[in-house]
Amino acid sequence: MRVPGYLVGGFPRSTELVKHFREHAKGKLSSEALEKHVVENAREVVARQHEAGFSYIIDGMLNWPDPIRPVFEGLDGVEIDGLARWFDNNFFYKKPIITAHLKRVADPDRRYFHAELIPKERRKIVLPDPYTLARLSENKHYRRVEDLVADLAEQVAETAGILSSDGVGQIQLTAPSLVVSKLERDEAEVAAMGIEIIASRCPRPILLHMPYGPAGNAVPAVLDFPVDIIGFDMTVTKSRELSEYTAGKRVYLGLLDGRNSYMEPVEDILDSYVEMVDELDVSEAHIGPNCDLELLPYSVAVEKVKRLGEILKRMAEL
Amino acid sequence: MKKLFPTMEVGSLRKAPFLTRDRERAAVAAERWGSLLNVADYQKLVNGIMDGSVGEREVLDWASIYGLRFFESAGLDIIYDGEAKRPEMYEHPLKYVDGFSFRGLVRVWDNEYYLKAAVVARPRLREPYHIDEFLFNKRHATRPLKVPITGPYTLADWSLDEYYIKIYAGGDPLEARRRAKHDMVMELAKEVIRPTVKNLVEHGAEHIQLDEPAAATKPSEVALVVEAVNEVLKGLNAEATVHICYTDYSALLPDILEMKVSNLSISCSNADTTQLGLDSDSRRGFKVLELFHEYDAGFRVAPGVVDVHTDFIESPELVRDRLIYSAKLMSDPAKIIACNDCGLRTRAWDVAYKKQLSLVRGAELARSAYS
Repeated sequence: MRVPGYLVGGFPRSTELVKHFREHAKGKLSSEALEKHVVENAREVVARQHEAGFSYIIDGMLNWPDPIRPVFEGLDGVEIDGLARWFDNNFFYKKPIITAHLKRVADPDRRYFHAELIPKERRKIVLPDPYTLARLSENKHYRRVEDLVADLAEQVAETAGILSSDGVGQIQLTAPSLVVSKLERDEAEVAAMGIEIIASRCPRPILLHMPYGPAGNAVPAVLDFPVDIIGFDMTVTKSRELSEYTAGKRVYLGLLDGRNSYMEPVEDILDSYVEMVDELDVSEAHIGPNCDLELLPYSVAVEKVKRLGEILKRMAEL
Repeated sequence: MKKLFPTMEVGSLRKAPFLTRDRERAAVAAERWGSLLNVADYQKLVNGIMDGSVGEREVLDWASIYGLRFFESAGLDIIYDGEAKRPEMYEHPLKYVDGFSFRGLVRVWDNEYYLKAAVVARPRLREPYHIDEFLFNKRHATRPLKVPITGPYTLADWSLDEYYIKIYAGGDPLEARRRAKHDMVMELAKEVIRPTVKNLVEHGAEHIQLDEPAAATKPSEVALVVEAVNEVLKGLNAEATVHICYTDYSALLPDILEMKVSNLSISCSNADTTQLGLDSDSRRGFKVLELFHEYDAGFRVAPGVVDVHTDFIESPELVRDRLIYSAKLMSDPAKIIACNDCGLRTRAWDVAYKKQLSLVRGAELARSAYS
């Protein structure tokens, strides 16, 4: 059986690239020279995904300062504030403070996605979902959270539109805030509205991926969201949380632990995959890590990519 | 009555300015700071740098002395040496522990990275660490010392697990992860951190600070943090502070109340405004203290009244307002210690020193408001 496998977020920088970013921060390396190193490294990250036989390929997001800041660049009405924890990780993002009506004054930087390195039909762009963005921000302007989510959705859609203007194979909206605690009905409605805005303006397919929390916190509400694929973090989800529902669409199963260097035996992942697909009523189940690989050392992330490649190969033999 | 708003630092300072290969620059820095901080015999260091006679170990000893004087001359009540002999707080302790293998750099934010290790076998302490450093500082300090040491939960949470997870592999993967994490944290607490802390206390350490910045990372594991902290400290005759920074402190409650410590040090100023005032908008970074008061926390709180992630120098009046507001929220000024958000490692000495002068002066102003 041929099972689509791919990554769901940023790749770590190599030790050399970390050095280049530090040199750039100290003014010892020009922005042009840094970009050259980013492209070289992105090319390698892309090649590794090709070798592993992934269906969709990311450029590694190697120049992203954190998973949300690029969306806010070029916007009026927001200030980037102090550090805040990125969900349950030893990683921090800078908190956006929404101080006025969000208004774009400059286009998103196209260098946040190196489309030219990847064949059109396999290009994958990863962006935050608007509800998660709203939850991660401090809102000092909008009276209603739905208005903030709607405006954020417009900005995400515009960013996606610009980054995918030369073609794209999959757009992912990363939505940890939907699963890190129980999603109430009114919250789900607001989140769905934000995604609807993006879905109506962006190319398909769209994957809504929800790492760092059990799927049970968001199902069944998210199953009706207007996306093509729904992704779950299966390292924190019990299959019974999903088994009683009909997804009615494709799912992505995050079975490899993207936050630990332990290399899961191929057969263990295969067994889990087969068991879950048996239990779930889905047309197609994709596979990969539960989250981005950014929180692993570079060499470990490379091994995880290889391991997923081995799993996909074994699946193809079945 | 005990002094209100005692001042305390959190741990690290940037490496001493004379720790550079450029001899001339090093000598100038040693001269300038030696004079400014009133370091005894600092000319010996200056001369040693210039003629190349000062060895690597000796330079680090000088760095510790300069670190101690840095805080003493700024006027802080509780001090350490800026962790002058420690490269950082994770990699350094693991060098004294068998069972870990370093795997590579992992990002913490922007361009900040740390070298992350995996536990590959049962952790075993080769020898208690920080002891030489403490004994040296004890000989040279003129004010009470507080010894910072990375706590067991943070060491575990910041590490990869290639050992414990294998023990429980095959069963329910969620339960396997839970049990693996519990075993890893508690073995580090019992076999690594407690013997190290006990050794420090037996050699005269009167105040220990367990650094647990990872404590609130996973709200479902806060009880484990508390279990580990209490295991480390049980029966030891020393004042204990736990430092937890940059997190959602509400996630720690109510489990954190079971922690048997004297003080909890937290970051507040990084999320605060820089305008003067005692209103909730101006002091938005300190709101969490309301919760500690509501839960009637048994420990004192050391809110960071100095932001260590900006070069902005807090005025003494801003520090004062932050302290008075904290005291107001806790309904008791005696429950507040004046502290930094975190270690000052990311700031240049000039900036850090001005911040510490403001900390001390601001605490004086707050004190006088209560006199």
